[in-house]
Amino acid sequence: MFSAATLTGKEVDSAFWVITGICAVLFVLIIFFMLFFLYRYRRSRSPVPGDIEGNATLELSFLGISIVIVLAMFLWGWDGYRMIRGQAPEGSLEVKATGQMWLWTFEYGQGRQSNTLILPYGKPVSIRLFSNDVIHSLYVPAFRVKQDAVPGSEKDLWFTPDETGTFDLFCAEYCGTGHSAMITKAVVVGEADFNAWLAGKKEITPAGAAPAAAAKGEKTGAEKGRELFQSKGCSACHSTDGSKLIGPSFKGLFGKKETVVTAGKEREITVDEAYIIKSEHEPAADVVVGFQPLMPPSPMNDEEIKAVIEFMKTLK
Amino acid sequence: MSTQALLEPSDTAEVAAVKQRFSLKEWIFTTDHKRVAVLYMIGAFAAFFVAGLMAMLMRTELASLGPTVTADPSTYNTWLYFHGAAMILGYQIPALTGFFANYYVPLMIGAKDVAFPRVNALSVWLFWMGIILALLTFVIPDPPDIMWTGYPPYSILTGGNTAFYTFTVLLMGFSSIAGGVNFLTTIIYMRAPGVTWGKMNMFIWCTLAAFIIQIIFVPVLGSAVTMLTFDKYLGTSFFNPAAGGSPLIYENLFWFYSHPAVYVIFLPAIGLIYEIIATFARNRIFNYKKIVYYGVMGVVGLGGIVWAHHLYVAGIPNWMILIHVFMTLIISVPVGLLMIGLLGTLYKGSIHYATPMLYAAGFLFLFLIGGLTGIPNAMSSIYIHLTDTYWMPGHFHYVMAISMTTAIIGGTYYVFPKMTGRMYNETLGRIGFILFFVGVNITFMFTMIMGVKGMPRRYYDYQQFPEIEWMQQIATVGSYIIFLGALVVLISWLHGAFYGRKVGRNPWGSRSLEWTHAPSPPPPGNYGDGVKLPDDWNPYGYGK
Ligand code: HEM
Ligand SMILES: [Cu+2]
Ligand SMILES: [Cu+2]
Repeated sequence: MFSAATLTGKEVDSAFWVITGICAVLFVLIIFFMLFFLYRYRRSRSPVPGDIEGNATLELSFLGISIVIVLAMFLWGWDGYRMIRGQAPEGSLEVKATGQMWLWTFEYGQGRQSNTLILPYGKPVSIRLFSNDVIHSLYVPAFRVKQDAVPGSEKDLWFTPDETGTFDLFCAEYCGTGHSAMITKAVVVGEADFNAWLAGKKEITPAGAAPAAAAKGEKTGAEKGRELFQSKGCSACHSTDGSKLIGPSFKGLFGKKETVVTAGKEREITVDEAYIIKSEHEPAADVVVGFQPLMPPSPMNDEEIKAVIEFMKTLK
Repeated sequence: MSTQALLEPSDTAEVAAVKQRFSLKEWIFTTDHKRVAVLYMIGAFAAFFVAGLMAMLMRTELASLGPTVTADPSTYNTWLYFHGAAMILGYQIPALTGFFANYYVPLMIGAKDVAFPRVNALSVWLFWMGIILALLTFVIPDPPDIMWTGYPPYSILTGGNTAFYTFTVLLMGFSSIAGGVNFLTTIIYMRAPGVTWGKMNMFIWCTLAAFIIQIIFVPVLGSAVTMLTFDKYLGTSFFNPAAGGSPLIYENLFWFYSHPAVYVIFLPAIGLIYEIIATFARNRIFNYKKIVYYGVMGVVGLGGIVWAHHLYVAGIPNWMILIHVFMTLIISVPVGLLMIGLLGTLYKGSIHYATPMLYAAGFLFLFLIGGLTGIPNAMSSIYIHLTDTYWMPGHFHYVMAISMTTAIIGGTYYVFPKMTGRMYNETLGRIGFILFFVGVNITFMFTMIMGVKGMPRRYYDYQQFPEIEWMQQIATVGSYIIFLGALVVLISWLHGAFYGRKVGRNPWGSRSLEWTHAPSPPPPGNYGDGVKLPDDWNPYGYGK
């Protein structure tokens, strides 16, 4: 298994290897008997069957031994489980995470909000988990944690990042067409960097993403729009190459005439700025014919939406 | 060949006498348990084949990063929905509790037919309606995409047609309940004199247990999916959080049935393996009584209180998890006993390796891997990482999908001479087995490894995992080998049914009633004026 990046994850890993070892030993042992019996008692070698009724001692000792093994595993596994799923320590960093089709949003105190999970190194994090629509599941393989986000209730999980770096964050509960695209990153940085980020003084981008900070300010609206298109989850449903996904493609969309259903009636509209801004805020008000009313209201402000429109205009 | 010696001279004549003209009407309206069994067999293997094609499409889609077969993830999701639902509801449960139960139960207990032959016909009709409804998935414009688990609120919000799922489940469920009533009555009241509780075949015990589970738990699933449909189409809100319902209630109800359903599949399957191993090893069942009381009945007793092990990360209270972790570990004891019983039956046996026995040996291996890979799942701390990743499909294909398929295919080879009066071609049988066995191990070993690396299940694409693309490709090649194996199996059956060498009533030299007392194939009514058994009769009495 690739290395764990949380304190609890490291313990899970050692348990995993011990268990794998035990399984390997059991496998060798049982497979030995199995193959031996299958080979030794073949008809050419053993023409007359033994006709044994059974062996009560063997049976009862198997019962006894297996119950003991199973109880030991229960205690050991439960110990680890309690450690992972128990109460978060006092003074943990609180993050509110919300899943919606097909985007994660993380909110910190002080109004900071992000679509990547930014975390400080070495500090316990307590995540309160919500969903706006269907069941999702927050899963960071490197942290060895997973918890479903269930609409209508609050779930939680906690862990302590023990390595800095960028880690994949997935949705692990089936949530529809965009399920396999509901992916983002967890970025663990030093505490100072984290505090600067929290105060809005610094941007943090996942390793491997385009170096955004460098060109900040000089960026055109369309470039900014492309980034938003990706980070805000639009790309899960809207293509840029004309192919039909869950929503209409953005290619050639701006200025196009579309038939939409408004309050049960069909009407013709032109896709312009006002229409798009309205669609972002109230996606269900007008639904393009041939699509389902699945789009969630966008978390973007009008300025950001305009940037996305600039980007849309470049897709001829 | 030693089996030849067991043929009685009169046997071939018997075979010729029962040959009849084919009439479709008679088949559809049949109440003969052996024909009902054949109808179940055709439906179940049809479901297996189509769901298998979906698996091939999925595996091909996964063979490369990005779009391969389709650029639309919802198409993949429809395949996956159909694959999961059809494999479990349309193939494994009906093959075991429909096909094999129908064929074997009256024969093994020395009865003329089941207790209620017309109810039996109703069961198979309901089953076929379910199969047809399920196949309509491919022609309706809005196929269901809710996976076989159908969790709300997605199944309520989706544009896919959840009603098709509900009605398929309900049809299959009614079919199963009718079957359950029928078979419990048959087993309790229609045993021939001499077939006492202590001398019943293992398969009969296991079928009895499986139907007890079905009758208790199917209604729960039925009500859960009905409420789901009400939520979606009639605006109720049992499970819809937007109006105060709770998706977690559905998750609990669903698994309250669907975990025991695993035992509905497992028990008859291991029952078949017991029959095969006893016959081919010419040996008594090792510790028969204890296996029945502690093993089979232990599974029935405990099977209903482990469902929440599917929900450790779903957000249920910790006390509930505690109970279910414990019970899940405990239930591995009776299951282990059943495995030990199989090994004990091999011990000092006299094993003859015909194709059914190869499948039984394959079962031992595959189920062992399935069982051992269950250990990390049972460790609740490790489970958190592994659940909902590829590890799970890897594990449950071993422990259920593939193991039980070896029992079903092996069981079909085993019953083949009885059903058709002819022998399949042994070479084709062996080739099919080897392809199947090699293929499944390649495919699902790599599936498990990908899961440990963190690849989530039900993923149309895996952009974040370019480093596992090669494993996906090997798994895909493995699945093509499985497909090839399945084709060889099919060819061997068709070839055997039409051109196979004619055999007599007991080509395997078994001591079980259906082989010693009934011709191959048995006539309507099976045993004419009933069977008379000597006092020392035992279906596993190879000693004398
Ligand atoms: C014979 C070869 C088979 C192959 C190659 C195969 C392959 C697959 C694949 C690729 C998946 C999807 C994994 C994912 O995207 O998460 C899957 C899921 C599944 N398979 Fe199979 N499978 C086979 C046989 C079976 C059988 C015999 C059963 C019978 C029970 C079965 C039951 C399932 C179930 C229940 C799922 C999960 C569906 C879900 O996630 O909702 N499979 N299989
Ligand atoms: Cu998801
Ligand atoms: Cu289960």
